[in-house]
Amino acid sequence: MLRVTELDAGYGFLRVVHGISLQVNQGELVALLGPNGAGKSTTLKCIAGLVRPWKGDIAFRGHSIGGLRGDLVNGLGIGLVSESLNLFTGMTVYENLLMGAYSVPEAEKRRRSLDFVFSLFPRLAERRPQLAGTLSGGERKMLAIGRALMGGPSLLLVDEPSLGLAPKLTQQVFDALRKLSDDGLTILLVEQNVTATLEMVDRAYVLEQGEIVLEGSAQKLSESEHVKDVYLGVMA
Amino acid sequence: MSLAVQRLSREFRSPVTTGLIAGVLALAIFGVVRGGTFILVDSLVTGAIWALVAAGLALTFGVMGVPNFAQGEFFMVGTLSGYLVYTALSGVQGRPYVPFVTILMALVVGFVLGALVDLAVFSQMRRRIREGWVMNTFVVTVGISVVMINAHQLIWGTDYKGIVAYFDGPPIHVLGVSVALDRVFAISVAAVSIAGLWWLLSYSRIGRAIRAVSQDEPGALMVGINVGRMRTLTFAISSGLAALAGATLLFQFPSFPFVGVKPLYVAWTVVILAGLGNVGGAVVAGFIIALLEANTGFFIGSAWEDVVPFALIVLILAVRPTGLFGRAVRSVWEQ
Repeated sequence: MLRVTELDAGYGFLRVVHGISLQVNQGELVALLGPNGAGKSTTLKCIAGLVRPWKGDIAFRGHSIGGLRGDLVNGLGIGLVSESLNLFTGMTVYENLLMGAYSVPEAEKRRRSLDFVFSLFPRLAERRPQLAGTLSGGERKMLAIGRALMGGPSLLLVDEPSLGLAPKLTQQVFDALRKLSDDGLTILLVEQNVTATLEMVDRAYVLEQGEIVLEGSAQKLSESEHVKDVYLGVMA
Repeated sequence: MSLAVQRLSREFRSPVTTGLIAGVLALAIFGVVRGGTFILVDSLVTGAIWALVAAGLALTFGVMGVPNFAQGEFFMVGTLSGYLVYTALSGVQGRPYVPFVTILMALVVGFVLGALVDLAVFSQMRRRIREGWVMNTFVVTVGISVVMINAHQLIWGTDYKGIVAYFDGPPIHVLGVSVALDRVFAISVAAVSIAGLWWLLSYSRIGRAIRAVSQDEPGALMVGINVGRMRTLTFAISSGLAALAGATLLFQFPSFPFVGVKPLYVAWTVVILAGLGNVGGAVVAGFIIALLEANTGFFIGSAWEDVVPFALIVLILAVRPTGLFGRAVRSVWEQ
């Protein structure tokens, strides 16, 4: 469904991503793991059209989308939950969700998406008239995911869902992502929280200093010596 | 509705703001008691128009980060197109629909011209400029203003092109003051436009998208909003409102190249008072400035009309650098 080939990207004169190739198949839940500054977020932003790739190709359903503007990428059915969430803090929870369905013309479809998001995160339904800027960290995260879902994406990109959340809340958010994936949504996830992520995903890539050093099924990765050494803190 | 109350209560949480609002109300009452009701009526008419010009200014700054010093020239374009359309319709003058057609045409001219200016200038700048956006666009708007003033002078000359009044009926009486029909017209037009703008920004799909762009630009892209188009639209709306205000006040501001200078300065005073980028605050501050002007004009002398509002700005900025309702400033500057 998504194929990234030899992607190079960066900011100014600084190259952050060095020739990354990865692939996400229909219905998969794939994680992009790695330490801070490895280029995970940049890769995600390139796919979503927020950062322009320097080189390489990004193909979604066989069509090249590299360098396409963010709003057009969204229109193709790619939803992004960014690291900083980028919520509209001066708008209510309801308005934020409504904005998520900005490019969905059918009112009926919007209403169904809204019901779905509220059933996934009942907390948001309670907070419906509240300004997004006044929500707690966990609620913001839910709202950002909810907003991305409102557009009815076929591919969801999620950047660091566990960032800044207590373990219990992280688990809640992960459960929601797992549920979405089980319902058939294709998800590409960026995470630093390796243990919890490998328990949930189907497949993962490990990114270090802008390059992919490992890839494979979650099972294979959690048994890999490198991952055990560097990420899981297991003494060999 | 509950949201409006929520926002309002937040605005008034600061004692400084509450104090200032109380002071302004006291001034209004003082003016009415000592001067006469006409001060209030005067302030309402000019205040409504300042609110219209300033709302556009606040919108442009909040959404685009452009401190528009050419806003006065769009007011000028409004007076000019108002004059040209009105005189062109001289054959049917006296018909009640003529003033409405006139100001509507001015609105359209301002809107289209604004859209063209954005496409020709700011859209191009957005592609090329990474740093110093506010400063660069500031200088560019001053340039646009000079060009527009000189274009007017070149083509239509420097003489006053005004009309006596849109309506020649007898004045109506409100609260013991007789108010010319044109002023009733002006305040109605301003009220309808402000209500329209408020509705557009609060409840329409496009208005929400405009607010989304001003609140979080990457977020707006992420939900599929064509950010560039929203900016063009914002500049067009803002220019259209200024032109509408110009045409509506044609009886008071005859068109000539520099007619926009006074509205520009007043609008900036209003916007700074309200807090840059805050559209709702600009509307309130528009009335405050008009009230100050009317009171100063009556009690101190009309030469001091501009002095007192400006002195107030200095005072307010010393106490509250973000303006009366200023919280939007942060979102614009800290991006």
